[in-house]
Amino acid sequence: MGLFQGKQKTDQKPPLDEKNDGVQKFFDGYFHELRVRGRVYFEESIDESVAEFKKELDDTIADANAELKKHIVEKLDEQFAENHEIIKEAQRAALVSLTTSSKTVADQQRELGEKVQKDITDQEAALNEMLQQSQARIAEINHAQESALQSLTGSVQAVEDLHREINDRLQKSISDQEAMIMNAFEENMARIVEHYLLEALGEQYDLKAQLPAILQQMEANKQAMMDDMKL
Amino acid sequence: MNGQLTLPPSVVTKLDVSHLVSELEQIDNQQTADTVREKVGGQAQAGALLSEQLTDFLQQNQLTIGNGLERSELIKRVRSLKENVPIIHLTFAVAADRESLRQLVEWVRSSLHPQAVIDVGMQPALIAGVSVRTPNRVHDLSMRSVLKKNHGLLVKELGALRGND
Repeated sequence: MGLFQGKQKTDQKPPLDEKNDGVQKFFDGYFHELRVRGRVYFEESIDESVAEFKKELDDTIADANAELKKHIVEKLDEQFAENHEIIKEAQRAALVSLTTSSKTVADQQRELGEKVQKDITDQEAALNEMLQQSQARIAEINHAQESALQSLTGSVQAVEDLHREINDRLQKSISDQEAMIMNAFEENMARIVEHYLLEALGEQYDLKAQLPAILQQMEANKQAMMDDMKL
Repeated sequence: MNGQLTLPPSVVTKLDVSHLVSELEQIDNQQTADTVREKVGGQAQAGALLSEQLTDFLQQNQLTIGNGLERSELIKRVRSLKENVPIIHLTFAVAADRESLRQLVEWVRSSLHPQAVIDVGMQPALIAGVSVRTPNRVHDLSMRSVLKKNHGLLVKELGALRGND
């Protein structure tokens, strides 16, 4: 209704003159009535136009909606189809990629498995070698320990034997020393006696006095001297 | 002149034999000189006195030295004897006197070898007796040797004496 407010203002008459007021009053009623009637008519007409316009607008909107809906549905269908193709292609590519990847993974897995198996074999060989070396070293250490133990036992036995031997030697040495001292004493005493005898005899016997004894001795050894002279 | 020369008891050592050789050579030289002098009208010197050893040697072997040829032959034989005479070394504890050596050399020549001579030495350590060294052996007949041999007996006796104490 606001649309026609301006128009209503433009249809208003200028103020009447007072000299013409009686007539004016008559016409005022009439005009008033006319205006009421015109307003009603106009309002009715407007309402009808509005209703018609509304109806047309609704129809138009409904058509537009339908068209729009149809268009959207078509677009959506196209888009869906396109998306479906893309998805399908993507799936196929993904499948191919997945297959390739799977094969690659399988190859890698096989290589990895072989490598792991080889590493395990190498590790086992290395471990076996280390184990054998360790066993050999342990055996050597055990052997060395046994040897050291035997040597130690032998050393202890040797020390005991040495101690016993030293004791025996000491005892024997003491006995020998005692015997040697006694022998030396007897020897020296014998030499003293001999020396005394020799000194006593040597001064008393000159060659003339000794001559009979010398000749007797030489006669006793005559045969040996003759044998030597004949050689 | 052809028999084996024997040495008298007065010739004891090899030095004595050397003296014999020297004396014979000296006599021979003198005799030769006298002969030359006589030939040239000179006067011969008085005859030299012979030593006891040479006199004994000539007597024991019944030799004369009047002939020059005999002297020469004798000198040659005595030299040979000196070179080949057997030597027996006798070592005594005391100094040896001449008479004892004479008796000893008589025994040596009668018992061992008629031409043997002795070489005398002295070693007081022998105490008494003699040590005889023939060409290849030593015969220790000294008292030191006797005591050494009986040393064990003396020690044994001392040991027995100590045991009794």
